[in-house]
Amino acid sequence: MATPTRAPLPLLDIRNASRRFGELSAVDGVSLQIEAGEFFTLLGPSGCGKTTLLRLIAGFEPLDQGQIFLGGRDMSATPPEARPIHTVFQNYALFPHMSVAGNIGFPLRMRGVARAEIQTRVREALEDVQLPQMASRYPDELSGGQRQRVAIARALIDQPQLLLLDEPLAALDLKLREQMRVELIKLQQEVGITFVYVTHDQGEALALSHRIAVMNEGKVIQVGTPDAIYECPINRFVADFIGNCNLIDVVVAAVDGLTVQLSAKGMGTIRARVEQPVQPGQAGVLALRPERLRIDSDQAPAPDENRFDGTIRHQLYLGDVTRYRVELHGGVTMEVLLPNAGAGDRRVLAIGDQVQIAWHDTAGRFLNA
Amino acid sequence: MPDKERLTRWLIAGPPWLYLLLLFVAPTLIMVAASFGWPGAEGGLSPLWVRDAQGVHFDLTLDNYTDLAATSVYAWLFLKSLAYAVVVTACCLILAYPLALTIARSPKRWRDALLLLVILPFWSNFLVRIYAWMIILGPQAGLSRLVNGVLAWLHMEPVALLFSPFAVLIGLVYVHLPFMILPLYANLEKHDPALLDAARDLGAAPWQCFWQITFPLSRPGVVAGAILVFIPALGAFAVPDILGGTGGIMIGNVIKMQFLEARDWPFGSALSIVMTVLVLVLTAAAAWAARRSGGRIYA
Repeated sequence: MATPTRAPLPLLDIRNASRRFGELSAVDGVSLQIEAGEFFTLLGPSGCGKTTLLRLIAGFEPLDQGQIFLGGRDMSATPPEARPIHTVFQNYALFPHMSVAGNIGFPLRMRGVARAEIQTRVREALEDVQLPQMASRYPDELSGGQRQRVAIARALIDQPQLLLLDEPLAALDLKLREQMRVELIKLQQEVGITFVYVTHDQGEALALSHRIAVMNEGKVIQVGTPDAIYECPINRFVADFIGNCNLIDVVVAAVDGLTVQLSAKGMGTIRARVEQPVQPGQAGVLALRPERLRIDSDQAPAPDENRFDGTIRHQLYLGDVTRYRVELHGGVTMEVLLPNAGAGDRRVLAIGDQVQIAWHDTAGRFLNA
Repeated sequence: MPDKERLTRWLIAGPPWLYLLLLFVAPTLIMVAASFGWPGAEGGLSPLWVRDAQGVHFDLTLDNYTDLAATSVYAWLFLKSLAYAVVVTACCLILAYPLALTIARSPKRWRDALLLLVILPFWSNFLVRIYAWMIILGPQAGLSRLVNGVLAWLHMEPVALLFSPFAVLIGLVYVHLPFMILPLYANLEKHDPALLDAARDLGAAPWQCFWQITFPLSRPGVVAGAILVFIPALGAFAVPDILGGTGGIMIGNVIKMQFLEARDWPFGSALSIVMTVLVLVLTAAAAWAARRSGGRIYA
């Protein structure tokens, strides 16, 4: 995905934003800079504060602390109706007593745009979202996908500077959800408006975003491009939350430059590379993506490779890939993901088979505990 | 087992049908019949048919309706009662709406307690509550003294609050207010708060949110409350009896008098029928107008 060109000032500048509800810190000292034209995702488990952060940006919640700047202007004293920001809500929040045209024209009506112009622009907007004949329908007569398009058309009709999307795909079925991902990316490129997208679905975040902020317990844990987040998680939480990951508790046993020997309970010694110098005796976690592991049998280990004996305990056939759980002889269970590239692959390995799993020493990532 | 199913259906649907027939349809038909009858010699109703050697003769008349139409005082009383009912409904709506909205938007644990306060007056007797207003509005009470004190200061004639159209209005609004609050609350409580966020988000100021979202969505509640207040207010007789004095009588008082004092049941029935038809026509017209203006009623 193309990285947007850098503007001199970030469009949205969140500085140390906090919001408490009683004892709970829903958003806790969050700072983020989002560039104009970016597709930016707030990703985290439910209750991590991502929706509250979205509501702070929209202006529905007051800040307890910190500031939010949009295009260099402090938004603290600006009510939601005066912010050039619109939101696509989780259940779309279409006005049930207004027709599709009434819903889409609402922002223009509120701004006192002339009736004739509203009609023209609503007609254009309906054509843009491929619902030209739906103008006089009511929201309860639309399908989920149609409602979502109306909600997006409504939020884009007066060209806000920023569009907030609160889990807009969560209410759709799987097939439609995947189709809408592609459409959302296309739409964002066409309109060129900055999107801030909230989701708990890491697959969605990876597929859609230019950059992702992973949140947990009200704090931003890591900000980065999808591949940076996936390949270089900064801690156990991110590694575990994004995709699947084997997480092995380890202690640094020996250091040779950036190549280290790690000792893990039940496994003995593991070779790994680190990016920053570590000290012997340091405790940490080795994160290993299941697709970086191989299953093969009885080969001599190469010098830069790790190799362990184990038994296949579970096998989950998923069509394009098969997920195996292999119990190593020391008792540790590892997950391995293999593509079903050849037609016979599935029958070669079976539950109970004695196998070896192997990975290159660059495949793992050492994380501080 | 279709037979058994049919029997079960009748067992469930039967009793409601029976009491609808017995308690609503039959009395209405009796009233319609009575309105075409003659008053009895001793009051009440003379027999509607006579059986003799030649068979059965009906003894019916249109006199009750022609009498009613011939005297303008009844038309005037209908109009006056209609005006009272309209003003009472409007006052109830204006007073009840903010209250219902406040209750609907207060924290969940408060709502039941606040609703209880709305229903609380029902726990004391209706007449006792109206007599209480007699005391409150009486010439010796603080309210009258305050009003007349201000009037005297402005060099104006003193007024009597009690036994006036004003007292009838206060009494009727007071009695009917809960019937407006409850359906409004039931409607407002179901509104999705996300719609208001969405409206604000899309550029509506708080007052626009109310007129664009909350009020149109509450229309079924407004209509239900208005009907529940308008119909009993139109036929009220106890409140004008107690608080209205001689000038405050409404059509309900006249009907009551026909039945209890004049003992002219047929004429009382005719008045009742005219009022029933009036209510039906007005309600149908209101429903038709609402449907036309709003496109559709969102429930």
